[in-house]
Amino acid sequence: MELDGPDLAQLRRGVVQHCVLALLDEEPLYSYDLVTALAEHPPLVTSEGTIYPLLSRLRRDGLVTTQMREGDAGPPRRYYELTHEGRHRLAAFRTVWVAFRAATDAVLHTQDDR
Amino acid sequence: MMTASNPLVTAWLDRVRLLSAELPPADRAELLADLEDHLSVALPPGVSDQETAAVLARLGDPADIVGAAGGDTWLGAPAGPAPSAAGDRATTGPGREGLTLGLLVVAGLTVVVWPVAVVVWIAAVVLLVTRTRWRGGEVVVALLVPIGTAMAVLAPLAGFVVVGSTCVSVDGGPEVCDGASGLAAALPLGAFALLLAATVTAAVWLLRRVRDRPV
Repeated sequence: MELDGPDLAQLRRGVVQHCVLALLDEEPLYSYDLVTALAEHPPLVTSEGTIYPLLSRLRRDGLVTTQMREGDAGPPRRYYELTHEGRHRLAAFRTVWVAFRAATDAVLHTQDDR
Repeated sequence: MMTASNPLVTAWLDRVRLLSAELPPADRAELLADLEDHLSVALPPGVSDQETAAVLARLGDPADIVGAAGGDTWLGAPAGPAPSAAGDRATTGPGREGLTLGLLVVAGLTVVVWPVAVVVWIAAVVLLVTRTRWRGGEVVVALLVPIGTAMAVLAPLAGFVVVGSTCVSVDGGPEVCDGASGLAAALPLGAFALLLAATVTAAVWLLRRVRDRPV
């Protein structure tokens, strides 16, 4: 039986937003590139479109900020970048995640013993 | 916008507009702008219908996307229940509602030991207000549960009092009740059954209301 629906949604909760922050760790990203990059990891998201509301929420929470940049052609594009608070949050999550993953693996017997 | 000329895209965006009518206007405008921008990049001029359909499929079901914008249910499953913005109360599932309901019932059942009933009732109301997903009318119905339960408990007791006063025992023989007392006994019994049914119905209704609600 595959884990899907509400169970998978529960699992994603609280994790995916930090994955977005991690994608922005290196450099600001155009929203389209950010969304398609995250969507390359299917377990993390339901669909590309559902990421946009998440980005809006991260901005409202002050973890990312946006700016419009002129492209080579076409209309200005919305770029996302981490705020100071976003960097702090990402660092904190990375620490927690390592412990969380280790604890879960230990309980589930899913350690990689290779 | 160039992409709007494709009927597939137009229909998809129309569905997003329709479903997002309830969102705050600023959120809705931002969502639509994001999606239109995405489509304008993903669908260069002259792209085939097949590729257009694939791009729309990757974007996802408009209902999911609007649901994601409507609250903290954005991770919701494609076949999930209608999203609600009311899911932000701290709960860990239907357990809180069940516990609250249980305490409300106990508060009613213990009405004859009123100090116990009062303590349990206060605990139940605190839980009800701070930890459950019930809102508005649901809270009112929940508050009626202990009253209904208490009256259901008191109705038969009242019946015994009435029956006791109209039944006589002559010289230690069998108790004899007159015709009127039969009716007097049936009335509290009927009230008891009615109150019990109403309370059980209310309880089931309350639990069903939160069953599909996001935690």
